[in-house]
Amino acid sequence: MDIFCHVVDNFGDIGVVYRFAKEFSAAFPVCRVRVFCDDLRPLSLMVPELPRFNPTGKIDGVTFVNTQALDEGLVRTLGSSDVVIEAFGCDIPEVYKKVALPGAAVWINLEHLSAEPWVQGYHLRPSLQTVTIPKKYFFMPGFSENTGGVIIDSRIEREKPGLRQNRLLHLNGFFANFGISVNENDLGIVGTVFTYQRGFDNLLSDLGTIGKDVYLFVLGDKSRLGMSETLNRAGARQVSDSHFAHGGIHVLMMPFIPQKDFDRLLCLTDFNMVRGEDSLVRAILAEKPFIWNAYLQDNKYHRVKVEALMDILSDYFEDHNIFSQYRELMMEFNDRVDESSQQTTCEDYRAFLGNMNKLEQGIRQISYFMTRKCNLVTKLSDFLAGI
Amino acid sequence: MVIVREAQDLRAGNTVKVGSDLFLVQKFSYNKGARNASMVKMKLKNLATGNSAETVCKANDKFEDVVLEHRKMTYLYGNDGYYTFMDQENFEQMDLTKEDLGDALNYLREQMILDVVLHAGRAVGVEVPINVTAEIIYTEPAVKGDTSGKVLKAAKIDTGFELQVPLYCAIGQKIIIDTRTGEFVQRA
Repeated sequence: MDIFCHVVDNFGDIGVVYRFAKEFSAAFPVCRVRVFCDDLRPLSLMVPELPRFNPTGKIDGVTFVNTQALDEGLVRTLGSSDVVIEAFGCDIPEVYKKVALPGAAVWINLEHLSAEPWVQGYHLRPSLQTVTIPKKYFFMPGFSENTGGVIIDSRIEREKPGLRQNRLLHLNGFFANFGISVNENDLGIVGTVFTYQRGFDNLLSDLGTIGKDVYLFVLGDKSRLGMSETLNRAGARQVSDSHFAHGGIHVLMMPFIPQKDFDRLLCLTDFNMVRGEDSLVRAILAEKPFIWNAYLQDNKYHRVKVEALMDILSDYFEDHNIFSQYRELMMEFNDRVDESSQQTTCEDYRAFLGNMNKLEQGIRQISYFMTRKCNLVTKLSDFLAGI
Repeated sequence: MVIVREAQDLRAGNTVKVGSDLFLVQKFSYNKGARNASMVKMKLKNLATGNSAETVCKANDKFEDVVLEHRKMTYLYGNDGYYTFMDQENFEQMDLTKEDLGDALNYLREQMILDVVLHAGRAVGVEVPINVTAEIIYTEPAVKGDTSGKVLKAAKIDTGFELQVPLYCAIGQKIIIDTRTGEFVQRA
């Protein structure tokens, strides 16, 4: 299997491709899995074990190839694969198209995840192309059995029970970055903040009303920037370089952490704020209440995507009042046209913070369903087996 | 000269060439993916075999555009699955099936003048204008004061087609519809 990836921005594209390639390779060890990518720097941050590649390197059973090094000689040396996947509609390099693609049995466009109902009508549909060999299909990840599902990360699934059992121990591993050690009685509420750039004034204000100590791990440059400016406005106290305090709220500016640690952290908290599609899936599978910051699109189209997600989630929540407040929060949180560190939305977190146990029950339900019925790797392999 | 068009610029009634085969676009829908990327789904009829099939592609996938003969014809009536059109110049009548009409059926009204697409002397489809005007025959009562157009409700137009319109629209109003997407554009 050859997977092509073009890094557009941030870490989402290659992060998803790595996760998918790793999972496919683990599920089918006899299968040769290669990732062709034009920029592996983001991945080297997410996966520090990634070896230097010149022009190829291998980790987790996956061979990585620098697309920029591709020429006809290298493509001929590498040869064709049975399955060619273009991730997120990226263009496959012409030299590969000319030399290796005709040798493939099937060509798949692995698309972005969406909760919108129309993706079911696109999933596994053939795509007429000017290049007619091999036949091309669209594979649409989603949240129902009629879609391609989501990538279930087997590593974190194996680790989940241990993380839950020894939560404090593992959390203290993350707190150690800040010279903090917390005991069970002082733990209070723990959350993550990994969003696009925005203001967090309402979040800090509402967290301040719950009467417990709060620990917020802030991840990613955009979140840190938005949070720093919010903390300045709030007059927060700086405890250390990366530790700020505002009343009982401890804001911990996290350094970049590897993908596997990010997955673990989401499972250890009380709630998570995540951005983009892959982190959304990780938040759901972490089975904790979450708020999703959708990637901003023209004319606020991202709100359509958020609304569709909430429609999917609604099936898993029994208390309609609580879910209605949750939906309102999610929609208001995403009511933005651009990124800035100002508080431009009017979201109210109080119902979310007050109903986390019930929200967690609903998230667990959808996580259970996705894990058992919507494993993307299983669905793709079933499709390939039928060709 | 070969004219190349992106998939997102095609619409029902257009013809594209893939390999040596001609395909008539019968249905067309456009969907926004993540990160402002888009996809289209089309129902294409192979004009050589007569077979129709759905296909999906990236909005910027390129196709060789083929301009077939078009004739202005008046839609007369529909009967038993056949839809009869009359040539405005020589009064010749030609029949099309529901499948031939594809998305155009959503906007078809008697006495409507359309471009009928011909291949080998035979009518194979129609091309509707990008914008058509239609009358709302049913929708829930209009909400006064909401002029934002952001909140939508269902409405049925005089051809029977249903679409989403802003809350301020009312029964009897004429509206303009984008036939490529089936979406409300503005009040006529």
